[in-house]
Order: sequence, then C-alpha cells, then structure tokens
Amino acid sequence: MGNEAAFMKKQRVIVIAVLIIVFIIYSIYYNTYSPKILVHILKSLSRMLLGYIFAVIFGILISVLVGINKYIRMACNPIISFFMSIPTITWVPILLIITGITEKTIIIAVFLGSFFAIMYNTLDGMNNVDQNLIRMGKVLGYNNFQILYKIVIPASFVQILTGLKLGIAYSWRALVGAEMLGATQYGLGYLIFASRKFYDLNRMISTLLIIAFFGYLLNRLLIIIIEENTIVRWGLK
Amino acid sequence: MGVEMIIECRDIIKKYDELIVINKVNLSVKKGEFVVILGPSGCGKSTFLFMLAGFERPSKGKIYIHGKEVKKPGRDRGFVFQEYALFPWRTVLGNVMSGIKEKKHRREIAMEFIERVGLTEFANVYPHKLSGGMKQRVSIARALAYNPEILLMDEPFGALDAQNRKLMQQELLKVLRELNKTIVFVTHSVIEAVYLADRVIVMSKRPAKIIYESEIIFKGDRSYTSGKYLEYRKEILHYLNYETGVKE
Amino acid sequence: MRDRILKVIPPIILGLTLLYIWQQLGERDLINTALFPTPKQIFYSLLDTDIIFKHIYSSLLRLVISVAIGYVLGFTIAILISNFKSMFFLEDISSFFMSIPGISWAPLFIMTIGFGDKTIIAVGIITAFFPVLYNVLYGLREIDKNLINISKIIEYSFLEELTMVKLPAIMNYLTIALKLSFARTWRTIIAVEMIAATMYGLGYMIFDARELFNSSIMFGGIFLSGVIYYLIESLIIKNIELFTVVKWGMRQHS
Repeated sequence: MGNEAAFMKKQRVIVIAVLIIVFIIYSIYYNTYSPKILVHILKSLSRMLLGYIFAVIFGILISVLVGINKYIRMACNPIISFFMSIPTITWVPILLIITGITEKTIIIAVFLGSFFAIMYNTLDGMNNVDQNLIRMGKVLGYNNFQILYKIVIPASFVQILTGLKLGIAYSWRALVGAEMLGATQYGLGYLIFASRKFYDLNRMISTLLIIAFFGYLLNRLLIIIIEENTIVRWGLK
Repeated sequence: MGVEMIIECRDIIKKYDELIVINKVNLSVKKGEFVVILGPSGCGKSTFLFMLAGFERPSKGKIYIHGKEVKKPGRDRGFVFQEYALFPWRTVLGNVMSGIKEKKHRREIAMEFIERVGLTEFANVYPHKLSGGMKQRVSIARALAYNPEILLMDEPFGALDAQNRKLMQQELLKVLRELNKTIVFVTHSVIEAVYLADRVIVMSKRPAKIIYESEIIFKGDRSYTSGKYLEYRKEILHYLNYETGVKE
Repeated sequence: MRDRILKVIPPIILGLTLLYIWQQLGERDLINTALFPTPKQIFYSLLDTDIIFKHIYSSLLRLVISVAIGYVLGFTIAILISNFKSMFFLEDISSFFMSIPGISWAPLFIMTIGFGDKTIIAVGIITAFFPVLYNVLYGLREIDKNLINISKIIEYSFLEELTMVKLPAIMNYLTIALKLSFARTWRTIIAVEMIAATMYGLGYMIFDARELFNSSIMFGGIFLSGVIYYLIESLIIKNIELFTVVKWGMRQHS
C-alpha cells in the first residue's frame, strides 16, 4: 500500500512540474505577457470576490432568518432548486438592459450565480441538525433565539461550508460567462472573447490556462483556510 | 407524611396515531430517590422519559413536578442522552459551561464538575477526540454543572462495552454522592438497574405498563456479587424474562 | 402518500404567492413592465413564438448527445485510472482542467471548428465528462473491500468482476454522476448557445431576444430553462434512481 501511495505522489509531482513548465514556456514564447494581463486578472478577481461576498452575506443571513421555521424551509427548497438550475448566463442579457454594460452587471451576475447555492446548502444544513442537540438547548433553558445562534448555526456549519465551496466555483463560472457577454475592456472572460475576434489562438489558450489556474486556486486556498480552523478542529471532516 | 413526592405521573397514555405506546402508567418519585425504569427494548420507556423531560406530551394524563404541570423542557430537569449530544464545536470545558448562567464563576464551577468526573486534563479538548465513556462523563458533568434538581438519563451507558459500562455505573454513584439529586434512569439491563437503583420499575413490552416494582434496600456500598444483589436481580429478571418470552 | 402531498403544498403556496405579487406589481405599474414583464405577459409571448418547440428540442437534443458521450467517456477513463497504475496522472490533469468553466471553452472551439451544433456539443461533452469521472472514481475507491475479496475468492474474470460486483456496488455514484452531468451540461449548453448557436436553442432564443429588447422572451427563456430541467430531473432521473438504488436499499427515498 505504501508503494502505491509513493508511486502516485511521484506521478503527481511529475505531472504538475510538466504542466507548469509547459505553461511558462508557452506564455513566454508567445509573448502574451505584458503587464496588462495583470489588470485583466485583477479586474476579474475583484468582480468575482465582490459578487461572492455579497452572495455569502445575504445568502447566509436570509437563510438564517427565513429558515427558523420548518415549513418555510420546506417551501423554499424546491423554489431555490429551481433557481439553481437556471444557467447564470441567461440572466446577463436582461441585466445588460437593466443595469447596462457596467461593473454592476457583472457583479450582480456573479451574485446570482452563487447566492442560490449558498442559500440552498445553508437551509439544508439547518434542516439536518441533530434533534438531540436542539433538545439539549431546550433543557439548558435556551430561548429560541439562543438555540438558533448557539446551536443551529454551528451545527449547520459543515453544510454551510459546502455551500460556500460550491459558491466559489459557481461564482468563477458566472464571472467568466458574464464577462464574455458584458465586458468591454478588461477581464479574463472579455479577453477570451476578444482573442477570438482577433484570431489570436495563443492568447486564448493561455488565458484559458490562467482561468483554470485561478479557478483551481480559489477553490483550494480560500476554503481550506476556513476549514482548518473550524470543522477540522471540531472533528467533523 | 414525611417524604415529598416531587414527580407525579397520573394515568399516562401515549399514542402515535393509532398505536398505543404507553398504556396507563402511574408513577411517583420522592425527592432524592434514584428510580430506574427497566424494560425490554422498544417498550416505550425512553418515550416516557422524553415526556418527563418535556420533549413530548402525553396523549392523556398529566405529569406534575412540584405540583406544576410539565409542558416543555426546563432547567429543573437535566438530561443525559445515550448518544451524548455534546456540542462538537465546543471543548469539554465549553460544553460543561453550557448551562451555567452566572458568568462570573462559570469556569471554576465547570472545572469543579470536570474534576468530579475525572477529566481534568481533557478540559480543553474537543469531544471528537474522546472515547465513548469519556464523552458520557462530559455529558453528565454538563448536566450536573448548573444544579438541576432532577436528572433524567436515557440509557446513558448503552453505547459502551460491558467493562466500561460497569466502570461508569460505579463512577456515577460516586459522582452523585452528596449531591442529593432525584434521578430517573432508563435502561434495559437488569444488572445495571439493581446496582444503581433505590427503586426499580419494570415495564412490559409495548404497550408499556408497569408490571413490577421493587425497592432496593442496601446498606453501605453496592456490590455486583453480594447475596442480596443477586437475589434482587433474580427476582426482577424473572419478570423481565416472562415479558420477553425468554425461558428460564 | 400523505407525506408527499404535504411536502408539495408549502412550495406551491410560496411560488403562487410570489407570482401573484409580481403580477400585481406589474399591473399597478409599480415596476417597469418593459424591463420586468408580468408573468402573464411572459406566458403569452412564449406561446406566441411558434418555433419555441424547435428551440426546446434543439437544446434537449444537444443535452442528450453530450451527456451520452460524456458519460461513457468519463466512465471509461475512471475505470482506466482505477485499474492501471500508469494512468494515475490522468486524474491530476483532469483536476486541473475541471476548474475551467464550461463556457470558456466555447471561443476556442468556435475558432477551430466554427459555430453551431459541433461546438455546442463539444463543450457539452467536456462539461458532462468531469462529474462522471469524479464520481465513478470516488465510488470505485469507496467500494467495500470485502465485496472485492469475495469476487477474488470465486475467481471472477476482470469483466465479470466489473459488471457483476463493481457496477452494482457503485450504482449510487453512477446515478449521482448522471444527475450532476445532466445538471451541469444543461446549464452550459444554454450558455454556449448564447454565443455559438446560429438558429435554434433556448440560449440562442434568449440572446436573440435582446436585439429586439423583448424582455418577455428573455424572462421566458430563463424560466423555461429551469422548468425543463426540473421536468428532466423528476421524470427521468428520479425514476432511474427508484428502479436501482432505492430498490436495492442503497439509499433512502428522499
């Protein structure tokens, strides 16, 4: 068993090394790296983070307020599932008309992309709290409000985190799509779309790689930091 | 009229839709008494305890504590679950402090009870790192720390292996010494019942009713092997075996 | 049975209430109906579009083809990875490419193979592929070792072991993979249609409506994409689950 693990590790290291080298050679050779790429990356990241943070705040807040009651949770579940199955990009044309070709449009699209997933998972977490923990709260004399924030929310944390993880992936996806349709100057999505117009295959591919890279990074880094300090410590992972 | 009946259950009937789970149970518990409710698995004894706790209401009949009807859970009745129900996001200390209202001496009081159950070195550990027996000790410490008058225990040692179980039974009696609590304890183990109880109430299969009651009178420390213990055990087991169809 | 009916009522009440409020807001001119048409307006304009069924059909067809091919591909590669050590590297490569949002592949394909069905289905296959790869791999790793031991004892061949032990054992993951595959591919196909379709498709319909500022169609398309997906899930996927996983007691009926 140890041998297999070591073998896998070796393979993994080789693969990552090869990918990085190819990536670097490719981009240097084709000279697609002007400092301008940083502007695109930063713009994309900032739009995504903004939309995502709003989605997290409102998603969790609204879920907690609304999800106290079992029946409201039941009512919201299919409706939120419905919204989740709507491709985020389909909102963009309308947003373009309503809020125009602005940063706001892209941020709202990112928000819509992740909001429902976060809300769904938060409500689901609240639904699956161990009944005994809630009973314990009542035995200890907690009032309903205390049960909510002292028991229900920490107990739902694992699921809330799942929602946050999904939210990041969906946000990134929404961002790229929204930028393709709605950005005029900066942004990774815009870049890909524009490179098509100029038949710049190399720029397109390297932009794709950058998109993949950041998508991967965001997914791993952000959440791992939070996870380590909460659910791993509590032994829930 | 010397001793106070602090728990009174009159004609308790519990139904789930058409299924009668508890059929006319009457029970009174004196202050300071350790009552064990013994019965075969699934007979409804846990349901009865839940009603005492206030998690559920009887379909018919009423439960009184100090003369007041029980309608919901309260700080006068501590509860210990079989599955521990510890808050995984709090340390041992955090869990034990959960019920203590006075902010000032919360830590000291909690530490006192943590010491009582022998887990002093584990005060800052998260529950998932503890064994089953240790978790249950935390659960007991938490229940006792804010000084409820009554302690309700639902097969608390059910998830432990035989040896640990006996250990915990002994620990429990030790911990409860001088605390003068009124305990209602549910189990399906005769050995456990006779060791711990002042009074054993034997319940029938579902629909549950009381088929036998026995005062356990022991002078001094309990023992699993003394003649008296074995006598009580034999007698109670006889009723239980009859209920479950075990041939003697 | 009573439980199921009870479950359906609250969402219906909530949904109808929201629709009613929306309708009222529109009728009383509290919202701009050029931008936010009322539900009734949306409904009628959808009916008006006589080619709406062509749009729906195109999108569905692309979905089915993409998922069919993507599923088979994902499944095959998962089996390869889990059975042949030299294939481990495929997993890491996939992991990297998985984080590329489906739609970003579109311009690449548009440039190389042009607009239309080919591109849409190509991106669809990529999107359908990854969830299957991941879930099948994960499922294969989670198989109870004892089941494999038994098949070794009775000396099953590779194929026998695969079809008679492994496949049924991972049925839960196979259905989850199908579900995820359908969900993601549907979303991506409609998105790609918006930039790459030439005549038909829900995505194309929505995008096209923008030219004429027809917000009713735009909202209608959004709504339809949700509804049609919901139908796919409840009619097809739920039934597959019922006949395999639930019947064998491998998962509770939710």
